[in-house]
Amino acid sequence: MKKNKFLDFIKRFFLTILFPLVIYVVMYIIVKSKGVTYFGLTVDMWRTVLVETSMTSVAALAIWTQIKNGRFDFSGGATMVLAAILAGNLAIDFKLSPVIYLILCIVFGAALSTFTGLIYICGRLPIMICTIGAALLYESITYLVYDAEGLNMMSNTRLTIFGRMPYILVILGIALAFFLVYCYLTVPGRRSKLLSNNQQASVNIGIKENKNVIQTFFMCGLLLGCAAAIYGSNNTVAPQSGLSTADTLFSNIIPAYMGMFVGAASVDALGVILASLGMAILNYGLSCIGLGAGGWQSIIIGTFMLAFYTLTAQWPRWKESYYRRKRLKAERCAS
Amino acid sequence: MGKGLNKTWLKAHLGSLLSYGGLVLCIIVFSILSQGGLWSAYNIRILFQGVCVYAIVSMGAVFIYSMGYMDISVGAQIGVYCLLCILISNATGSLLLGFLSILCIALVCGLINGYVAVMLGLPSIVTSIFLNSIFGGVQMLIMEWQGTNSISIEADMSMFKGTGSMVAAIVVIAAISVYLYKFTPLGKYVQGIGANETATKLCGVSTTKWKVIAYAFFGLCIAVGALFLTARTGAAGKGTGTGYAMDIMVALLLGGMPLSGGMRSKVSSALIGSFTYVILTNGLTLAGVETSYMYVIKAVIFLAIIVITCRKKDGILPR
Amino acid sequence: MKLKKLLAAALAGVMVVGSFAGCSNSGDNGDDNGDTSAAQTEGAGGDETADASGDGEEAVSAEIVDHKIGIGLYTDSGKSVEALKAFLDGISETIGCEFVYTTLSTYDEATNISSIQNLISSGCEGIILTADMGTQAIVEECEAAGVYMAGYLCDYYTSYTTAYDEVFGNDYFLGTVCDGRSDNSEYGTLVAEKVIEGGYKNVGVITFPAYAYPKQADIDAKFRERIQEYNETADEADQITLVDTIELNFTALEDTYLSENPDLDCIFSVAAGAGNVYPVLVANGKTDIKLFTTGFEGTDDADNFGSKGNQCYQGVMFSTPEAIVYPLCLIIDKLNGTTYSDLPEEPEVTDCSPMIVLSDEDMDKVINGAIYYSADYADAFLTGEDVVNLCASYNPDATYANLVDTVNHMGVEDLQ
Repeated sequence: MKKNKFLDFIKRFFLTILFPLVIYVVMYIIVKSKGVTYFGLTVDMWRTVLVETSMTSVAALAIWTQIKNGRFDFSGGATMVLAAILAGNLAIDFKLSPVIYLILCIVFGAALSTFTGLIYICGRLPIMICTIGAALLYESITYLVYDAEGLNMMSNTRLTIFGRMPYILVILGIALAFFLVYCYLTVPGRRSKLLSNNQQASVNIGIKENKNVIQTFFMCGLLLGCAAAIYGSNNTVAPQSGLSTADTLFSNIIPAYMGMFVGAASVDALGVILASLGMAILNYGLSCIGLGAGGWQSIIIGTFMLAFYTLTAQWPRWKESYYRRKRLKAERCAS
Repeated sequence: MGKGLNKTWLKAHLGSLLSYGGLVLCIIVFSILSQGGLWSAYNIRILFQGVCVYAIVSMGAVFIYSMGYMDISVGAQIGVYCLLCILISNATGSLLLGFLSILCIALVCGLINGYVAVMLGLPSIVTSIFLNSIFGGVQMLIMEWQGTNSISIEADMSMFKGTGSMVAAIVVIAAISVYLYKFTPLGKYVQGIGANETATKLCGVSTTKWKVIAYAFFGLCIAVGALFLTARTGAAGKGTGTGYAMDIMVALLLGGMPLSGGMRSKVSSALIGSFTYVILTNGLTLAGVETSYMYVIKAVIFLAIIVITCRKKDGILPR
Repeated sequence: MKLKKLLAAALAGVMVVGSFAGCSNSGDNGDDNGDTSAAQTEGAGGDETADASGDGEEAVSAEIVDHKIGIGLYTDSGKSVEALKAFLDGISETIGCEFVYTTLSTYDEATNISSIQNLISSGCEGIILTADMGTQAIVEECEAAGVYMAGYLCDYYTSYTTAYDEVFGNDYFLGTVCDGRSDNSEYGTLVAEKVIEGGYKNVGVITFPAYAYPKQADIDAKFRERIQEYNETADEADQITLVDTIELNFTALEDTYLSENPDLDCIFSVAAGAGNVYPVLVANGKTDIKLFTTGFEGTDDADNFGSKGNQCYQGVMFSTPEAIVYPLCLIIDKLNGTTYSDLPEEPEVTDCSPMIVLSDEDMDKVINGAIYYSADYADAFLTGEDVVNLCASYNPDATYANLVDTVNHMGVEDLQ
């Protein structure tokens, strides 16, 4: 029995790390065949890969929190950008410590996200339309605060420690803890799951939907705040308009969906992180062979994602046909 | 009886009335704030020029949004089609050949786009991210190969640049869209898919087929929009088409289009939304509003309009 | 439920009313700003331009005519924008110009055309643009509307080489002043001298793609030429190794560049290094690599320049906002129906002095006396009266040669 459990764990573990492992091996072969020496186990490579992984994972977890609960939040990118601008400029102006900067990011992220939730429940608007409105509003505020200068603190070595190794892993840990605790260990998290599965039935059994929405948006805001802390530390944040923050959001959305499949053998959150890791290795590998930016990179990434989903979309059918064949074989043997 | 009918009619058409009302209100307010500048001959011309591409592409997008789908690759597609139209036209000396080529490419890409959206079974916004990445890459590659920042078209496009031809294009596309939407199964089925895909499927409708056809028509509209954009700018580059995906989404919402699709979808949303969207920016500039305040005002007006037009009265929260 | 409905309706009503109130308020604000800036101009102009205005008043012969000029900026924030607005606000009352700003795109023609059309529709009689994107269509639009157009901080290279007749041959295009010199290759030689002087051994060069910035290759070539010259006479141990030039595709430098070249001790980023290279050096803990670059943000690049801070920045080059007087004077004169007696027949691509900062002393001069850094009109090279004197329509003695000469005396050496 114990042996079975252990084997099951090994099997699940292997399946979970399979995606980044395959990417690593494939990229290793390609990159090494081009004569690049620093791909593999170099400190430089893993520093870059882990920073990108953490950055993408935290934002992807925030997006996934909403998608998991049946909502698509367009305002995530704008919340992140505005929280980073407000917290970063306050930290610079008042010479605050990086920890306070992180806390401010989380506070602003949570406040803005909760406000989006309030617009949603007071306005009773379809979620996408409502969050597009909130995104436009937050984007417009980026032009009104701090003389429309945005945030430029990425070169401030003192304040940006959470954008670099090893502290960036602390934020990833915090975000992961927020996500796991809320989704798997709290009553609101479970109620959220119920609501996403059958909204009407859940309301009928007495779940207060409005309260749960606010709790989920607040939770998502905490994650977006963590993402904002990293984003502000690693990017020059310019004022935004015309839903351009949606691009920031979309650049992190793919690991969120990939995580669903990658983490099928374990936990979705782990899947999101490992999907981000796989994509970070892919990006680093492409950059090693001179395809880190420009047209080819876009085409390769787009085609890769398309191929990934084409294969995974067929997975249930393959699984079904495999079991059908197995069943038929067993029936034939029995007869 | 008459009163009851009026009430029912009013209830059924409240969304449309509010959208039209929003447009009329915009026109009145900006006519006052711009001290009549909104109605100058020059301004009317630039309004139509600004609206033309949005209206044409939005009318195609109505078929996609009616199904509850979304496409964010439209901007990159416009960019690629503009570039291809210019390159083919410059190489062959025939604008017609350039346009027909992008029309065919758009049709094929539309079919693929539709099939991918159906096949993957993922939210359409996600599948369109892949396509956006691929189209964006192709656009960048073309510019890298050309080794220039912007490619100009050599053919004379003055015919497509005039207000008359732009209005004519809007009218023709509107007529085709309304015909397809109201008088062919395409319109009914895309609305049906948006309202309840399972029920539509159970009625014996091949949803895959109609989804792909809807995407193909959308592709054609994008190609026509790209032609008029090329006529307007006379050139294209690596950033041509940027922002169109979101602009079209916002325009449709301003026109009263429900993003979840279904029976409340209508072609008029594209026209009203495009005009409202363009008049908002134009009117605010004429009124002398600073750019930074312009964004806030646009956001607040957008929120106000959606609160009025999209609010669900009771029951569970809308998704 | 009724209460909720009422609340929702009230919320919507407040938003609509608020938005309309916003419209009118913003309009008022605009006016207020105008007044405020005018008042500030009076205050500022009163003291610091006493000597200059003395000459100006004598020379000015015609009454100042009011004009509305649209300014299309390539970005909507940053030191350069702040300084430009401060300068134009400062001179606006004296020269009788109201300035309206819009943000252009450096990669999308349609955005630019829409922005320019809106400016024309709002009553702008002249347009100054900082980006060469969709220019052909914009010039045609200006011609149709009878609006004059000129360039600033841009050499209009794409138009010059691909649509010369349509843009430069159009009567409504008046010319442009470059971002520094049209041929900035002198900066390459100056940086090479500094690299030799600094004793750096492994140097990387980074540029933007040649299709967008073809002249950056000239700076690179001059830089390499001087280093090559030095290597020919230097001992083997003292020779400088130059890494192959890489092009940044308008994105930040990739971390792999630093892994590929672990021995780098200096980078010459002809592509704006403050935004694209320095942050990568910080993220990788490699600020010991010295950086020479173009552009100046007045933030980290000022704090860590020369012997200050982490001493990463060793050289920057940028253009001062006062150079906008070149297109401005040309437009004002055209609108007033006067031209310089020595105005060339064809519109020109004119140079202005680049601010080349390669030492602590030069950086101190910029920090203490340049409007680019302080955004204070009092620090400007020119006053409103000076600008009036540069216009042929207000000063019969004004010449085009003098205008060109003025924008060519705005370098670090000209700072007080």
